[in-house]
Amino acid sequence: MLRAGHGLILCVVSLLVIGVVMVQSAGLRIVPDRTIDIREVLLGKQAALAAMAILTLFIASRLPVNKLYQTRGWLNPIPWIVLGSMALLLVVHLPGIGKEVNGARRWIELGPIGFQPSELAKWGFIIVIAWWAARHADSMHLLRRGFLPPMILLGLACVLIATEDLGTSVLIGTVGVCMLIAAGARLWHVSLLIPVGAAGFVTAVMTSEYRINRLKAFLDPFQDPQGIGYHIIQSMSAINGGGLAGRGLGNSVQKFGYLPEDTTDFIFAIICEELGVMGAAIVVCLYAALLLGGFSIIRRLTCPFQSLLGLGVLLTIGFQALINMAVVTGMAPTKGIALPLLSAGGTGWIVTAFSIGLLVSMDRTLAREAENAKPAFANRIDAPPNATMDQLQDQSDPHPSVSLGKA
Amino acid sequence: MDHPVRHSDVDERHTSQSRRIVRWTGTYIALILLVFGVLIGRVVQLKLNPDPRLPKAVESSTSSRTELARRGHLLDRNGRVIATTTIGYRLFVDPKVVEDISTIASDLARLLRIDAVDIDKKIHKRIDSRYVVVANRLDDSQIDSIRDANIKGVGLEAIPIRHYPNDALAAGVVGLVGVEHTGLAGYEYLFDETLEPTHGKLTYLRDVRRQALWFDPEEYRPGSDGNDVRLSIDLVIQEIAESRLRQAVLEHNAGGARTVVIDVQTGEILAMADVLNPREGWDEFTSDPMRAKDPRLARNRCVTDPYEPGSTFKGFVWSVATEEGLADPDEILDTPDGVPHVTSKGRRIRDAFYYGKSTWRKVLIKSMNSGMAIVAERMSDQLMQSVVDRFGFGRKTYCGLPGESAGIVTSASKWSHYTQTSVAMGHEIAVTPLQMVRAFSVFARDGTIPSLRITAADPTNNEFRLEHRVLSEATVQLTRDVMRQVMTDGSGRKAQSLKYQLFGKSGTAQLPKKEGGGYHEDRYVSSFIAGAPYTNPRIVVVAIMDDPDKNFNGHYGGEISGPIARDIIDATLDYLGVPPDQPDYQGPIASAD
Repeated sequence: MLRAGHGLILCVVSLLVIGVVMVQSAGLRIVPDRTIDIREVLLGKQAALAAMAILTLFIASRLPVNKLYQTRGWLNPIPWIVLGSMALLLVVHLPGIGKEVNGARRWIELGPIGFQPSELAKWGFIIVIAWWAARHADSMHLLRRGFLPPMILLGLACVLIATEDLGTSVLIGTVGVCMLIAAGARLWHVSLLIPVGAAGFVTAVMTSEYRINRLKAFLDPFQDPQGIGYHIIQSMSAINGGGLAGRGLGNSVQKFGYLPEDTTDFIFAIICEELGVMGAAIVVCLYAALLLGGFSIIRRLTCPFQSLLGLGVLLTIGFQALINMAVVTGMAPTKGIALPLLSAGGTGWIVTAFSIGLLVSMDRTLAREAENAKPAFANRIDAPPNATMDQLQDQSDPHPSVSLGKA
Repeated sequence: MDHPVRHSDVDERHTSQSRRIVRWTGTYIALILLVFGVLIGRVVQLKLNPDPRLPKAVESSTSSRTELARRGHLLDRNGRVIATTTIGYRLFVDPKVVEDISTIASDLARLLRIDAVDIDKKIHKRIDSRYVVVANRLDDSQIDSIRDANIKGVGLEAIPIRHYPNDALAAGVVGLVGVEHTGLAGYEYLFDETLEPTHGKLTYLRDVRRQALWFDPEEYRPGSDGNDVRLSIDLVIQEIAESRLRQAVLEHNAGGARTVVIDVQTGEILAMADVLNPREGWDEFTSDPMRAKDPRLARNRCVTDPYEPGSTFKGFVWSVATEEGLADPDEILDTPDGVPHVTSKGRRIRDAFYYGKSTWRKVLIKSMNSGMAIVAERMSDQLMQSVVDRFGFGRKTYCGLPGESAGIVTSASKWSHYTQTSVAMGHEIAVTPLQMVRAFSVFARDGTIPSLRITAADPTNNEFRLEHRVLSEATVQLTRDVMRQVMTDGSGRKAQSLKYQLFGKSGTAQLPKKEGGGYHEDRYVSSFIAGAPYTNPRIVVVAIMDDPDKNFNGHYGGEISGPIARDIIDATLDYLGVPPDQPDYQGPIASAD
C-alpha cells in the first residue's frame, strides 16, 4: 500500500536525482582532450551528498517525533535549540569565527565542515514555535501570553540574520508568523507587526547598497545590462534559450560562464534552458506533490505539535522553492536562497531531507496507529463483517485519524 | 509511539487547534500552488515572448570565423599565371589586452627583426583601438617565432595576398587589388565579380571567455574559390610589345608609345602596351600621375586616350569611295605637280611630295593629301560620316575595359567642307588605338568588323559574335592589295619585313596644343598600322609614337613607327608558328648574311 510518506520519499529522491544530474550538467566544463565519464557523475560529490541525504531521510523517518515534545526538564531540547541558535547567530558576527563569503558573513567553519547558523536557526525555530504553540494552545489567541513571546524571539533572530542575509531572515520570519497564525494567533495581532516588519525591511534595504542595486535591477534590469542587471538578464536569457522544448540535457549555453551561480541558486534557469517547459513543470510538480503529500499527513495528525512542525517544514521548503524560482524568472529581487534539494549546496540537501524524514516518520506512526486501531474499530461499531470491510476500504488511508477522532 | 493514554488526553482544545492548523495549512499550500502555476506561466512567457529588450541586452554567445577562400587567378590565353592569391599572415596588437605596452614594441621588433620605433609609433598612434596592424605579410620564420612567443594581446590574422609573378609585365593592363583584396584597377577591377571568392563561414558557440565550445553542422557554410579568368592577352606577345616600345621611346626620345596587337579572326586582344617616357625639360603631352605611384594604377592609354590618326585613316576613306564607285583605282586624278592643290571652296592642300597627275591607287600608296581631297569632294558629307561610323569610330568598342574613350568626331551639325577634306586625310578626328586596330582588321578579314574581346575565346564554343559587314570582299582584297604596295612602294618601305608580307599604312599627325587650340608646328603623333601575313592575315598591329623628338631619328610614322609594328609582327607571327610568306625568305641563316 503506497502511503503519503512513500510519496514524499519518491519526490525527494526524484528531486535529488534531478539535482545530481543538473548540477553536474550546469557544472560541465569543456576541456580539450578530456572526456567526461559517467563514473564522475555517479561517484561525484553531488551523488555522495544525495546518497547521504537519502540515508538521512531514512534515519529521520525512524525517529519518534513526539519525543521532542514530551521530553521535559534538562533533556527538553527546546531551550537548548533557542540558546544554541541565538548564540551561533551572535557569534557568526565576530571576526575570526564568522567567515566572509561573497561579502556577507554567514558561515562558521569547524574544520572541514562549514555551516550557516541561519540555516540551523531556520529549522530550529520551526521546532521552537511548534513546541510553544502546542504548549500554549489555549492562550495563542492572547497577545501577551500567547503570541508575543515566540514573536519576540523570532524577531530577535530575524534582526540578527537580516544584517547579513535578508532573504533567510524574511523566510524565517514569514514561516514563523504563518505557523503562529495556524496555531491560533489572532490576525489583528499579526497585523500589528506589519509596520514593524516593513520598517525593519526598509531599513535593511536602505542601509545596504547591494540590496538597493538588487532592487533596482529587479525593477528594470535593462537599465544596466552589463552591471547590476547582468545576473537577472542572463538568467532570463537562459530560460528563454531553446524554446518550449529546451536545448536538451547538457546543451545549455548559458552555463559556460554567462550565468553566474548556475549550479547553485540559479540551477532552475539551466533546467529551463536544457529541459524546457516540461523540465520546469516536472520540478514544480514534484514540489507541489511534496506539499500535497505533506498536507495529507498533517490533516490526519491529532497532535498539534507535529502538525505545526510538519507545516513549518512544508512552508520552509515551499517558500524557498517559490522565492528561488521567482528570483530566477525575474519576478522577485535577487536573494541568496537556494532551490531545495536541487541547488548544489551540500549540507542543505541533508538537512532538508532530514526535515522531510520527520514528516515520513509522522506518517509511519499514523499508519501504525491505524493498523493497531483496525480490530478495535471493527469491534467497537459492532458491524457485520462485510459492512466493516466496505467501511474500512472507503475510509482507509486518507482519513483514518478523522474516523478515530469521531469514535 | 503514543501511549494509549494520550488518546484520552486529546481534549476539545487540541482538536480545535488541530482543525485550525489543517485549515490554514490547506490555505497556505493552495496559495503556494497558485504561485507555482504563475511561475510556470512566467517560464512559458519567457520562452515564447520575453521582453523585447532581452535579446539586445545579452551579448551573443556565438562567434564566427571566416574561412578564407582564394580569389580567382588571372591567366593569360595559354594558362600562364598573371595574378594569383596565397594566404599570408598579418600581425596585429590589441593594446587593451597587452600586458606591458611599453615593452611590446621591442619584443615584437626582436621577433620580427624590424624596427622597434616604427612599431611603437604604430601602436601609440591608435592606442585606444582594439586592432592595430603592426606588420603585413609575415614570412614563415616570423610566423613561427610569433607563435612560439605567444604574447598576450598579439594576434595573427590570415589574409589573402595577391601575387603578380610577372612583375611589371602587363602591369597597367592587369591592375591590382586593394587592401580588401578587391579589384581596384585594370582587369582586377573589371573581373572582380568573377574573381571574387565566397569566403566560408563557421559560426560556433563560445563560453564567456571566448573559448570555442562546439558548432552546429548547419552553421558551417563552406567557401568557394573565385573563378579564374583566362585573358586574351598572351604574355609572350605582351613582353615582345612592351620591350619593343621601351626601346623605341629611348631611340626616338619620344614622350610615349602605344601598341595593340589583335587576332583578326577572333577579335582577341593579344597584347596591349603603353609606355611613357618622362623627359627632362619637356612640356609633356601626356601625364599619368597615378602611374608614378604604382605602375598597376596606370591609365591604359590604348583605351582612354584618343590620338589623331593622320594618314593611317586614308585607307578607310579610300576603300569606301572605291566601293561606292566614286573613284576607280586606275582613274587618273588631277593631282598637282609642285604646288598645293586648291579645293572647290579654296582650301589649299599640301602634299609632302608632288607627283603630278596620279591614279587613285597611287594616291593611297604615296599618301597624297591632294588626291584624297579631290575624291572627298565627290563624296557627300553623309557618306564621309558613314565611313567614320561604319568602321566604329566615334563610339566605344564596348570590349569591357574601364574608362574607354569613344574618340573625337565632329558632329554632323558642325560638319563643314573643311571637316570633309580634313577627315579624308585623318585630321579633325581622334581615335583610340583600340578603335584603330578593330577598324583596320576589316581589311585583314573578309570585310566584316569584329567585336574585340579581352578574354580568351574558346574555339570549341561557337558563341554568338557580333560582326557586321563594312565592305565587300572584292573591295577588301583591292584595298589590302594597295596597302601591300604601301609597304613596297610607299611610306612603309622602311618597315618591310624579310619574313612576312605586311600590308599597312603610316600616319603622321601634328600634336594638338594642350591649351588654346591649334597644333604644335614640329611635334607629332607618328603611327603605323599593319596586318600580316598578306596572304592569310592573322594579326593587326598598331604602333603609335607619342611626341617623338624630331632631332633624334626622324618623325614620320613610316620611318619610326613602321619598324616597331614590323618587329612586333615578325616576333609575334614567329612565336605563333606562322610560316613566313615572303617569297625570298631563306630562313634565319640566310637573312643573317
